[in-house]
Amino acid sequence: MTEKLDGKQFTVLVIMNTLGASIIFIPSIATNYGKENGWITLIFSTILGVFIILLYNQIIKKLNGKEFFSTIDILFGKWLGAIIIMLLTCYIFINTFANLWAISDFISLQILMGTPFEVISLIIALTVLIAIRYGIEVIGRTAQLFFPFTMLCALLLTLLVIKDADFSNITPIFQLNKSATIVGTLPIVSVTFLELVILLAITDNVNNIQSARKGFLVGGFTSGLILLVITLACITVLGVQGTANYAYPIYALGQRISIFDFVERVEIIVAFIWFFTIFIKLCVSFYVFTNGISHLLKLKNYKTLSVPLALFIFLASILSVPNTFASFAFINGAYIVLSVTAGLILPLIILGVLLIKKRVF
Amino acid sequence: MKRFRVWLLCSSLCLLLTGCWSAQELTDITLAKALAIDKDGEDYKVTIQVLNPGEIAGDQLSTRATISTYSASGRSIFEAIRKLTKSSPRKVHLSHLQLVVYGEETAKEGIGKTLDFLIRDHEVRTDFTIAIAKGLSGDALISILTPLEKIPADKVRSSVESSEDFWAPTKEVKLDELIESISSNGKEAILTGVYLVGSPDEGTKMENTEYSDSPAQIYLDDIGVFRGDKLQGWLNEKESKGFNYITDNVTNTIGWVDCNDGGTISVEVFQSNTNMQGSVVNGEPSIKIDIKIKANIGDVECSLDLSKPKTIQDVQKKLEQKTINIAEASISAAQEYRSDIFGFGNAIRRSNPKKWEQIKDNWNTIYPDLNVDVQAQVEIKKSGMITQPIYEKIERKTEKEE
Amino acid sequence: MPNIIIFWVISALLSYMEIKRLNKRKGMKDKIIFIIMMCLFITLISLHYLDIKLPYIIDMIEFVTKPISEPLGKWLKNFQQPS
Repeated sequence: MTEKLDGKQFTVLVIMNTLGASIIFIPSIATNYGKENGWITLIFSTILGVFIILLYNQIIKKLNGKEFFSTIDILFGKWLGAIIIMLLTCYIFINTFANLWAISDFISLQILMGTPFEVISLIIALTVLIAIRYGIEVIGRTAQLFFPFTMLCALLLTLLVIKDADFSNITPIFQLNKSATIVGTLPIVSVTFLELVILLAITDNVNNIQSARKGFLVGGFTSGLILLVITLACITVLGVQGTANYAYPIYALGQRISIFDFVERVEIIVAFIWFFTIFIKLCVSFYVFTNGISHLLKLKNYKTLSVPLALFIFLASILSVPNTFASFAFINGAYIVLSVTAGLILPLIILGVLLIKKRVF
Repeated sequence: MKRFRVWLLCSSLCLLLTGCWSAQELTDITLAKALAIDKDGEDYKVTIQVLNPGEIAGDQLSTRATISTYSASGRSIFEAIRKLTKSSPRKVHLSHLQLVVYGEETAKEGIGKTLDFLIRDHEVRTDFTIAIAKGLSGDALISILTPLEKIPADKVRSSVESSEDFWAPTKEVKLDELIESISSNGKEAILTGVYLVGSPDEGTKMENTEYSDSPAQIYLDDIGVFRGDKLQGWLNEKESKGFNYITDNVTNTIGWVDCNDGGTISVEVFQSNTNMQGSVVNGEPSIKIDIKIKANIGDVECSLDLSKPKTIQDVQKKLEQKTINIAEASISAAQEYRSDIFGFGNAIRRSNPKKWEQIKDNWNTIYPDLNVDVQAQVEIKKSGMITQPIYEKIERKTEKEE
Repeated sequence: MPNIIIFWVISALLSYMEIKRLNKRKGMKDKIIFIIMMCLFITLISLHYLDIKLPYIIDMIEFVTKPISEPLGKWLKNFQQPS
């Protein structure tokens, strides 16, 4: 029995995957490049993101409900196919442990100070392990269940700080730093939309190809919009320097919430946004990761490998970066290369071959 | 077997749920309400004001002081705060910090180095008020006990807030704003001054709170002007008010003007909107400030016929002129300190980014001679509970009796 | 040291549960791969807990992508704002 997702669940997964991890870094990266035009960078990124999703949608159309990894095998033959799957899996692996590192680092730095990083990381890794053993359908339903809470938190966050917003912080609009504003889309797209390539591997689980394509586009656009609003809120409330200074600007935004000096210290709602999105993102990428490895090793059931691989991502998250500063250099350098390779060049090649070998299908 | 497994699972889950990994009981920590930072030679001297919980919420209140202060010195702020444990009986917890005070001398030497810790440390929240102890050191100021509010830090903070709302010549500055204006070019930082009337020694005793008119009282006034991270000088009350008018920070204040016959008429400003527009005319940057005020008549201490539209217009004219004077006094004071506290640089950057890129490096030399045009519009709305001044009738009666 | 013992207990528990599941179905291959992988990662994590320095993954990635990422990083640095 194959597991099925419906279009709505897939849309939610797209949003969760775009927002996960990135929502907390993006404002800082964007202002680092475009300064007061950081939010314009997000507009460019969303436009670019929509084009990337259109590319993925073409692949989904051509796949026509077939399994992603096995189609690559058929298209490229045994060895070349294995190499391509290996590259993709490597990228997904990096993505998974980087997200695990990010959430564990955040929790151990901001929320559970004093709890060792390893403990948090292991607990999350095991939770994700339990989740993926229930299968993608359950993950999809969970995402659908959590989605309203996440959106409510994001909405509350922006609404509650709106009275502190100072729109002179975003002026002059798009006059200075024009080139930097445009260049900033590169790191932003690579941590958001290019990571959606992971979702190609679960599109065969969506019961209707048409709704999958629609969901992909709607989800991508919506999450671009959410990121835009959050970045705008950060810049107008915290100021350009403030946003760029903080490692977690939206957490600082949450700290600013104060209603009549009564509703205060509710920054944890920001953490909720992040917990939910990144948890779903971790589940999906870990699910695809185990599937990819199982496919490479020609195992029938991905569940066999899930336990050792959970330990593997746990280990990788411990060993991922020496310190927080290295992660920023990584996002602004090596990670872009990886994202563009796995998220743009490989899909382009796959699409090209799909178009040429049309008759095979 | 199955029951055993369920039992094992539940008990292992309990291990995760206790939530006491790094628990700190209230009896093991002290809550710091205020923090004073002073320079002590090369070192920083940090003083904290901590609560004596038993004196604030205990069942039986003794006559012990509601707060205690502890000091320690260290090369960095962080070191000094950790060193506090040498004198303080418990670990200092900074998350309830309400007030950070710099000594005036420290502020003159520069506060830039002290800010990093305050924003970086996860325990410190960034919503405290920052002030300068005018004319004395920070530790002296936070050692003063205050009546009414049991916790002096709360007293200072709430007076900063209420005086900003109802009186106007002060401004509450939070950490984000301070850092933004210290680190960006195009705007300089300001901090509200807090000063002490009376002897500092008297103020540290519990008796200070037992008088109805305490011998040592904390006053708030004046705005300290910074250039970079160094305190340059102070704006007096009038200039501080002008500053708040220009930066559109007035919510409610009182203004008065002379009448023709020597008395005064006061108005309550209940709405003030300021528009600051930078422009470049013939290659020269200039600023236009437009202040729009709505006010109610609050106190008439002279004879005026308020029913005549002409009288109201006259009062409005005078108020306009006075507002312009206040604003211009404030600008010229700030220009003397060569400190762009109003954000004129930002205004020019917003209106003419290209020109700003050219002049931003010379801004310090351009700013003191910057041409600023201030305009004001005052609208008088309501007359209060009565229309005609009482004073007039009283005066008439007095004249008759004489 | 207690860390590593807790970790071993957890991984033993996981392995036990998984092996039990695998025993139910036929298929030697799954079992072999599972055991090999489990051994590999448990050894690696144990090494980490025994304070043996393993290389940081980010360094490995950066080493691989160096020819492109280094000039890219430098180029991007030009656009990042000095604060």
